[in-house]
Amino acid sequence: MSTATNTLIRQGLWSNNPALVQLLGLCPLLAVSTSVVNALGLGLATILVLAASNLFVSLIRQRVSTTIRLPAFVLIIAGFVSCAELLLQAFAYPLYLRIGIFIPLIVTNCTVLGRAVSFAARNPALPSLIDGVMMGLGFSAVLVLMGFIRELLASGTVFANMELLLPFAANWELQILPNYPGFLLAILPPGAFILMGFILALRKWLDLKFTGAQDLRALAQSISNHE
Amino acid sequence: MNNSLLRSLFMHSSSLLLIALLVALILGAVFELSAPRIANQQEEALRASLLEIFPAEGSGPGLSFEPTITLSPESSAFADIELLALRENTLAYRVIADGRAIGIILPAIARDAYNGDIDLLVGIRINGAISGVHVLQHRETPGLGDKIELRISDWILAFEGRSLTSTTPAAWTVQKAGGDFDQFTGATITPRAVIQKVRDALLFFQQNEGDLLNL
Repeated sequence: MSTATNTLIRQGLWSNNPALVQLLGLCPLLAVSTSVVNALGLGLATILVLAASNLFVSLIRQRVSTTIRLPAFVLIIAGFVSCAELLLQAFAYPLYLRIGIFIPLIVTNCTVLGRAVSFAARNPALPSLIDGVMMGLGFSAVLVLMGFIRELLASGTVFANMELLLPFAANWELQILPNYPGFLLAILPPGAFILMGFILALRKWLDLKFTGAQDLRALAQSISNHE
Repeated sequence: MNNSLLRSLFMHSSSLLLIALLVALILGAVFELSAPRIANQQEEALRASLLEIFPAEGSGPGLSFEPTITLSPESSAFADIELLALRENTLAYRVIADGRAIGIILPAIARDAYNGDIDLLVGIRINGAISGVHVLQHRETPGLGDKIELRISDWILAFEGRSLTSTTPAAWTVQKAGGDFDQFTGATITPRAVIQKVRDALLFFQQNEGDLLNL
């Protein structure tokens, strides 16, 4: 694998993760991460839209002048989001009934427009496609992680109702905590914000622990220079 | 207006138009390809939820659900229509087996719940017994009042088989008030409203049995 591809993968999944570093798309992230199945459904739809819009934008990038860039890109993204909504209805209708109202919100997920403007509009088709998929995967990973933790905290189970998305997953539900009394805060919005805070802190800590020692020294240096 | 401005206006709007056409083409293709599947899925989901309210008894013949009756809140075509407390014209499903009507699924709205309306579907067999009740939509408190949903608790199954004769008027309420039905910890308003409305649906059925089943 080329180093350029490697960089794209690392950026999407970790160093420039849309949810944890750019802090984009928090609205769908916090609203839909109430269970693994909801999170996975929205994650797949977001990957599809990001990949398709990045590829399309990259293919037409030389024909779109900067003047009409924003309306053109929003139009393209909205078109692909509508496609994702139709596909979800066609292939996972029961899941659509549960998370359908959040699918149009992908249009307002700034990650999608952000990648179109800052990456796909300046790069050839293949890197743009890889960037879209990797950013989508990075976003979905956080989404599913939050869904996993919130479902576990709220009801003591994980992977409940997975058959809504994957027909072969009918018996995937795991009762991890038996006789669990339930913890309502975890599925309400405040629980999502609190958990998000913990995940951000954890990422920062891991980052500093493994790669950030030099950054930290540089930061200390720049602070002392200011003084 | 000078020529170069006109030229750039034309260039920009035509390329935007081209993109719009391209996107419309893609969207149209996806719509055409998915439309039959979506219609199919919607029908299946509706049938599955109707079968939950009105399960086929034993291994009898397949049921069909015919949306043949429109209940109008203003019309006097049916006696005591206000029992159902409908907001607008709503469909009732006649349940047909072997070409004969064997029951009906009625819409009803509980207006005196804790938070907003609770939209219900009530299935009633030809003998006046309830076949099942389904909550279509509600805004009760998660964790308290939402136990009326089957996916959260099986409370709603307590209606099955009950009729106006099997359950006395005084028993149509929560146990705390001397009735037959469980209340929820911290929420009695929600179950009481649902119980009351299910009984209203039975009363409406009693008044209009002939018209509803086309006897």
